[in-house]
Amino acid sequence: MTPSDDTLLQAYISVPEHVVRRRFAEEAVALNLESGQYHGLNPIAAAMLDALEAGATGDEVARQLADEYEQPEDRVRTDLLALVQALADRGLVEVDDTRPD
Amino acid sequence: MTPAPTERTQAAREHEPWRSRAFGIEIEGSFPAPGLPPARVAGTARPTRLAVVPGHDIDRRWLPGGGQRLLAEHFDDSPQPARTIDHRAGVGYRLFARNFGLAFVSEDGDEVLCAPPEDEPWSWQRFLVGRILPWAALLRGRELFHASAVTVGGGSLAVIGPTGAGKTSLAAQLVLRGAGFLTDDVLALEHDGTAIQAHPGAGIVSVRDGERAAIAAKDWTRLGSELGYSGKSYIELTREDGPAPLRAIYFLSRTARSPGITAVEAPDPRLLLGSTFIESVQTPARLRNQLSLCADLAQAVPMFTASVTAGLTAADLAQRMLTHMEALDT
Repeated sequence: MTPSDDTLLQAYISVPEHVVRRRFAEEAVALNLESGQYHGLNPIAAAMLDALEAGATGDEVARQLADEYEQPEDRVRTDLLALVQALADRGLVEVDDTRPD
Repeated sequence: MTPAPTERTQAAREHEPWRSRAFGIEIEGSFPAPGLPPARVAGTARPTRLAVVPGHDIDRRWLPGGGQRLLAEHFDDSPQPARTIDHRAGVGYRLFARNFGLAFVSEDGDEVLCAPPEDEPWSWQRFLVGRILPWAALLRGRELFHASAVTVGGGSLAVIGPTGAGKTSLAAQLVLRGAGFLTDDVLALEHDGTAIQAHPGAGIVSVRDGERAAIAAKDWTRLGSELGYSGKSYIELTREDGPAPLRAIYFLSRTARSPGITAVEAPDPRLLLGSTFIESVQTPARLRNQLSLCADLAQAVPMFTASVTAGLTAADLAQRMLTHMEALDT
């Protein structure tokens, strides 16, 4: 991983007010009210985003989910990084280096 | 010359104010409107006011400044679009459909002005009940789906499918088998805090020639009264007066491999979001409401695929659906 990837995984993620999320049967859907775009989240991605929004860093979430789903931590970290980058690119999350209140 | 008493009475009746209910909103008007029967019980909600006005009254309200064109549809080689929708923030929506006239819907859905051509009410009001009133209902917070719906045993079932899938034929056959008619083609839904309610629309169905031929003459007269014909037969039916809790959704499919009704265990969000009506209104409030209602549907309402295969008539499928609904209750 590049240094910027490490920085991203140690940052804190928040969901801005213009994004709403709802759970369907197996997926969750995030809606960007500013762009009008919908984004589907499979159950793992939805669980990742929930944990990030609760205040955990990417590293912390990767450790937690690797343990929960009995998957290699590096693999979970890679998937989590891809998710955060995709969500940030679409304006669905904001990245901060300080833990939110 | 003083009109004869019957003429005067009829003329006066045609301008008597009436109050009806459709697509989840109270409506007030004063022109003949088949398919919008007077509400049996007066509602307390603020009504959407309907009026028929000259076209220049609508354009005087709209101009200057124009608005943003949201939609322009061409159905032939004419340089002029057959349908247009324009929006002006803070004012409302201007809807035009060739052969049906011009309409204005205020930004909050409280006021609707129609400037129809010289035509029978049932004919030009296809635009009113098929597009304009649903638009007003959407602006007033209802979510709309491309669906027909009937009531069965105290609840309702919705049939979702694209144009031509057979929604109307199925609804007609369900009504002939004792179901109560709620709506055809446009269904307004609302979560009232306890259940998702399916609201009645206009009491009119448009039946294709093929389906009409499949309905026996005695059943045809039982279905309702014929208003007219324009490529399809337009029938006014007795319609439910109020909403009914939604108990099942059936997606019509012509591509399923085997006939019958199969459960949809985990509805794809795209299936529900793609079945909503009126894509042109993309305000944050509408989008939020749409997502919320679709998620509620996915979690609360059983969903099924009803496959329409060769040889399976609308009558057959209607009977299967009624049997299926009875089994859901037990």
